Amino acid sequence: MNTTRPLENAKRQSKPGELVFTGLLFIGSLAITYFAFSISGLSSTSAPGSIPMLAAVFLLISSLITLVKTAKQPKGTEVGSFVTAITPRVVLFFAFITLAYISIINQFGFLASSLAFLFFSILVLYRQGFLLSILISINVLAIIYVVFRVIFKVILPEASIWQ
Amino acid sequence: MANAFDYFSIGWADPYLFFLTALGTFAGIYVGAIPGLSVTMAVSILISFTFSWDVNEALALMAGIFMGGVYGGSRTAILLNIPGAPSAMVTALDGYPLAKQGEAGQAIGLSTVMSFVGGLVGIIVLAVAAPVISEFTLMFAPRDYFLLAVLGLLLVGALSGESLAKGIFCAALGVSLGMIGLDPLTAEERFTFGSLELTGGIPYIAAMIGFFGIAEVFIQLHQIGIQPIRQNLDKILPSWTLVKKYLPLSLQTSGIGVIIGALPGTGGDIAAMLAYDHAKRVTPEPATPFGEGAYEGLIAAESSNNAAVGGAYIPMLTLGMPGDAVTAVIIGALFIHGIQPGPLMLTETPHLFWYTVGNLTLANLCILVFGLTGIRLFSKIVQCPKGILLPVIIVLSVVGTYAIQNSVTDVYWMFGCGILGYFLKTYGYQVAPIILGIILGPLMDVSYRRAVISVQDDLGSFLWAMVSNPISLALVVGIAVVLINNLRKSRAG
Repeated sequence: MNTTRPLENAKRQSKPGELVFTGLLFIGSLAITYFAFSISGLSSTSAPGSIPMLAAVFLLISSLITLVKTAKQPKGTEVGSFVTAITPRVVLFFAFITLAYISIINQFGFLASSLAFLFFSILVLYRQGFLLSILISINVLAIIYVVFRVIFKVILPEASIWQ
Repeated sequence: MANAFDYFSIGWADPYLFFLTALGTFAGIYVGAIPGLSVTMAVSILISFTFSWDVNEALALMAGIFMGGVYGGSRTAILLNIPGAPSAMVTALDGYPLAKQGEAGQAIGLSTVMSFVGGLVGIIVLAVAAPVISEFTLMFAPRDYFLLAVLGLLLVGALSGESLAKGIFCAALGVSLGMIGLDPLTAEERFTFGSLELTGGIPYIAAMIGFFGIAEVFIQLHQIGIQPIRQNLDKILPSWTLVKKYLPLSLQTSGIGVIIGALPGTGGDIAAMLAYDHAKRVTPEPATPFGEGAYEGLIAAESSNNAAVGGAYIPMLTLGMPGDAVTAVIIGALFIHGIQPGPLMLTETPHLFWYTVGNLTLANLCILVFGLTGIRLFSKIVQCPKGILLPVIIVLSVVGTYAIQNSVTDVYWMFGCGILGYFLKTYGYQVAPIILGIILGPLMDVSYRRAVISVQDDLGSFLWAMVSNPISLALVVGIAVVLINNLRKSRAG
């Protein structure tokens, strides 16, 4: 059964950036422990901070174990560098365009911003030319609009820029 | 009993509710069948549209999506060797070899019928066992709920990933996220950093869509160039002789599925693995060896993972605890609709229970109908290029998240959780324990503190109560067994 993704083939070898990521999780766990402790300290076993502190202790221990394990693992060489294996251009592009889409949705409304997002992402990801990308985008958006706005009465963001 | 039947048949008698269940099943089958789009993702995105609906309509759609999604995952497991859902991983072991031998149609037909059988067994057990369990759970003390939550988190953390430490990390992260907001007992602020928006807690449906939907979309970008393979399917209706031959095995493995599904934290994937193992033991000489296209393997996997759906509803409706990641999402949706699943649900709102059982039965029937028809449409949808599909999922995720409380801030939460989920998944962490942690965290918190307050904050008395009460002791033993077993495995590995 081959259900693995490309990055999961490098078992027992650390993936690019894994040690840094695990280190960041450990630092994050330290911060959560500090904030959990500052809720109510060790004032009582039934204080509001008791379960947050318990969870934070587990976070801290498990992230430390993972950090030590990752540090001991040999570095994987098969999957390439952090940029090529973890954040290739397509992922960065899509993250950027999704963030841009979310940022403009309140100003330009659902229809205009979704059409722009669908068009640019389909143009880049599907690579079948300008005309087909715009046609697909319009059709898909029309279906989504009719199903969710017209039939199911779901409220969609409206443009504030024109108001 | 007459009342129960009346409630059961609401979804069947009302044409609109009937339509919604059928629509949910249809959507579930097709979304579940698309590789990479898990049933949890489908449920998280699609149920967010139901928050402004009447509760009966929402429940009808949810039951359909869940049943359909679990079944849909098997289709691509058989045709492409890519399970559409984690519960279909075992289906691929024999399903794909059967497809390579030109028996894809027969395999799909048989898996559809056996999924129906498994689903039916799960629903019957749910209908019979839930009222009994519900009575029993009235004896549960707050500490037992605390222990059950710990057991559930431990099980899902230990079973869903490559490392126990990573599983526990994700569960603890989920619990910490679930603590954000005002303390339910004293209204003290926790992890709010003075922000008014955080006092209401994190928008967990947005977090779920992020962790399951957005993260998966980014993972799928790595396979953007892979073209789906075309398969020729002609006859998919299985012969009665074949169905009769494999029915006993299907019933046995359905039993396994419903029991595993009912354990908090375990779902169809674990059920399918255990059922496959059982099929291997009871069929020493299959016509085709296991792993090379044995119908027994396919049937065991499909019957059990569909039976696990009914099983997963048992802890959800009787204890208010999710049986798996999908029921965790459904519990979140029920809270938003003002329904509190738990021991009192069956006594206070029996109509909702029997209505749900009726919807699941209807959805199961729809699986049989949709599963054995529309194969051409199915092939076209599954072959939809990812270059189109992934942007569409993003738009649906945005629409779904925005629909919860008409807030773009929630959409940012979704995106943030999606990016975190992408890195976590990439580095071998599973996101299901996070979601379970978010849901179970508050329950764990309130149960633990009520239990400790009831013994005047005396930790010694609290610990003594855990070992001196039979229910608590059984749960403590369960936790110890899971922990020791997994520590052993970790050391051996």
